[in-house]
Amino acid sequence: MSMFSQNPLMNGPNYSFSETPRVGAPEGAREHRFDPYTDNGGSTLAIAGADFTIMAGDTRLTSGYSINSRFHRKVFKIGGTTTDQHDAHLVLSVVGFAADGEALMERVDAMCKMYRYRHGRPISVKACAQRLSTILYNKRFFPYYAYAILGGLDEEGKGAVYSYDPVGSYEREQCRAGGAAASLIMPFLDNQVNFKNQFIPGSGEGHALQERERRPLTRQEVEVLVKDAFDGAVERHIEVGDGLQMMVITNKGIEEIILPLKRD
Amino acid sequence: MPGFDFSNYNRNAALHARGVPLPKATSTGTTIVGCIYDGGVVIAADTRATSGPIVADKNCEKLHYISSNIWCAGAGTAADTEFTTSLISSQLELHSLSTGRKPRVVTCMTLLKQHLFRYQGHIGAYLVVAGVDPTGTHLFTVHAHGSTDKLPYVTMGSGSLAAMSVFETQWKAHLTQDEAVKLCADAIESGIWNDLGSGSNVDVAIITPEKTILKRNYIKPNERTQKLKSYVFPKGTTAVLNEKIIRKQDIGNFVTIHDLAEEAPAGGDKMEVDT
Amino acid sequence: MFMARSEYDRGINTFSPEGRLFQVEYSLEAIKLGSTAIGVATSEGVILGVEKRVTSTLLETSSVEKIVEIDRHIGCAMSGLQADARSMVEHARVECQSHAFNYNENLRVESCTQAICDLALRFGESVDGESPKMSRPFGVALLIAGYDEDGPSLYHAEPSGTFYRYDAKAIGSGSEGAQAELQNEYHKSLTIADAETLVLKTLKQVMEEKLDAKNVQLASVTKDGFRIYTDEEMAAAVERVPAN
Repeated sequence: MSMFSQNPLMNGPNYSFSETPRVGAPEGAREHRFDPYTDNGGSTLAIAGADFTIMAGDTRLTSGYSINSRFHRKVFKIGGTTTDQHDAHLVLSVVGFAADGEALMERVDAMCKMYRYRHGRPISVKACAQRLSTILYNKRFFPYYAYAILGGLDEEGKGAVYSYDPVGSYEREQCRAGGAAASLIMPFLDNQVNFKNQFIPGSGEGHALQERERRPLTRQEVEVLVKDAFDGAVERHIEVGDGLQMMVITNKGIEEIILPLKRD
Repeated sequence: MPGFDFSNYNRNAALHARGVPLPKATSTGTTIVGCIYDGGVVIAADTRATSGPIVADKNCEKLHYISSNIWCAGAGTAADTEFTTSLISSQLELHSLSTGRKPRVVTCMTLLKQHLFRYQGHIGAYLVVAGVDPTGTHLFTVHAHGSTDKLPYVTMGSGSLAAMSVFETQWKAHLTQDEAVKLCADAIESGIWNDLGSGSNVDVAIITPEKTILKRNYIKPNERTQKLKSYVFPKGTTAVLNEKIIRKQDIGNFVTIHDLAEEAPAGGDKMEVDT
Repeated sequence: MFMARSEYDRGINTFSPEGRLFQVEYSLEAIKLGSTAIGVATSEGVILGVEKRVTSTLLETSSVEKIVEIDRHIGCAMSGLQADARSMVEHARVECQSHAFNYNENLRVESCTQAICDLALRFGESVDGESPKMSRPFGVALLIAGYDEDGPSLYHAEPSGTFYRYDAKAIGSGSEGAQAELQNEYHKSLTIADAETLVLKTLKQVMEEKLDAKNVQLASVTKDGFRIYTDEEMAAAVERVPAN
């Protein structure tokens, strides 16, 4: 009797892929399509400090209106010598299509291990960043549907964050948000990390107003910003929630912190 | 039937054929349920409204008034549930006035299905209709295409499977009012947690022959977490590029002013703001 | 059937009963026929020097190329069959470029040497479907000098595919005498200028011809990269060699 469900999975295409009408299809032609990608939602975030980098991601895995997992990691330690990655020095976060993200992570990790064997030393973030770009671009016409962010410490011990698009365009940045709630989090980061749109009150008239001077944030400050950013995203984005996974990279190693998020 | 204006139909169809996508309506991707018990009927709903993956309203009302003894829970396109229920509410009120009888739930259900069938599913209203009338206690579902069901317990919306799983494991015949309220609230909560289209709070309405009790925000399991840091900016943080001062006595040159007595702004909850 | 011992030096990938690969051993002999090449590593950089055999007065000496650049930070000197060195150097250059493309950093000198040696044993009978193999081992040895994040280093790569790192190394026909000389004269605190002189002095001792600015060639690898000496620099360096 009830044939018309409200569930988008049962009734036509998924809501998050906006379907635009097709133009100019020949009369009677039927289009057959190969749809290898799914959007698994979720969001990631990375902030580089003076001598540390924090990488974070929520732990919800979705498809359509369903939650496939409430604890699925999307932030990974890579470049270590063992499976538990206790001596890893890099962190890779991936968001988008979870299967591609994980395949990409495994490949970059294998590449880091090969680098260590071939050259007798751990790979630098800079080198790994360039290699990740070439790995992504190699699949230019069948991309890994993943938004990757690579974090670590550079040759001088400063925090380094490299962010990517799915086909390998990349840039070193102070901070970056990725995934479903990137458009909600990124403006917050611009304002709170790089002090964008903040001026010193009374420092001048109109265009002559002085911008608030940037200063390096402490680890504690960044941890608070990350938690607040995700608490905000959870309120307004349905694909973000359940848990918050944070990786703190310092010269003493990588520390993992797991915090709860709202589950509705 | 008066009401709908189709004058832009041809223009929009032509635009659509040339590749312009349709505007996105706010959908109440929802969990709504209803359950009959000995002595009345309970309906319940979550309070999340979404637009794509974005939460448009964290505490919207999905339980709609039809008449004092009939209430309706709505899922689907927010505007369609809102307008359809209020349209049928007024028709039913007029019908009640002219007949001098209390409106019946079947009448309401029939008006709804005839209205929706006429529009062939284009009015995206999915409804749970519940009420008590002189013929007894009734519970229906009405789908956008016009089909209806009459059942002792029902669920609808994107969270219908999550909610139905609760009914199918816990429902029994001859429930008490408290049991029925608990069961409906649990079913909605299941939708809140397990369906992304549903969230925030639980609204409940209990309809008995005597009266209807609306329990708005019966359960609030998703209170907003306090931010760790204060994001209050010192005054003057935002750059002022130019400034134009209009004195109060000159406002009349720009707008017409009617002085009203001190009263609360009409409609809507106060928005939650960080301090 | 009786098989002569010498049969084993025909099959290119066949061990002799004593466990020797004769073709590989013979290839090492080919190097001993080559002109002498010397490398000396100091804390500032590495000096490479080769003897150019000027077999005719009509020979244009500048066309004798026995020191080549592999990348901005790596150079190499050769002794043996020069044509073989061409394909090794080409391989090394591709490896360096590929590493820079993929990793945005210079290939380390040891990794470059390893890449060259990976090529050394790709000889023998090729099988269908496999990449074609070379018909014989290389007949050339290389002195690979480079400067990477660990500073300067000098490697010696042989046709057998083995390589070692050296402070100072001589290869080619005069290598025995030259190596003995390097053994005596080398110390850790040599400067670049000292190394130039040591290389030239050692070459002078083992060369049949009289050493001059035309029949030797020097090159250096420092933090500024690889550089082949100009005629003027060669003349100046030869000038500094003690007469004795």
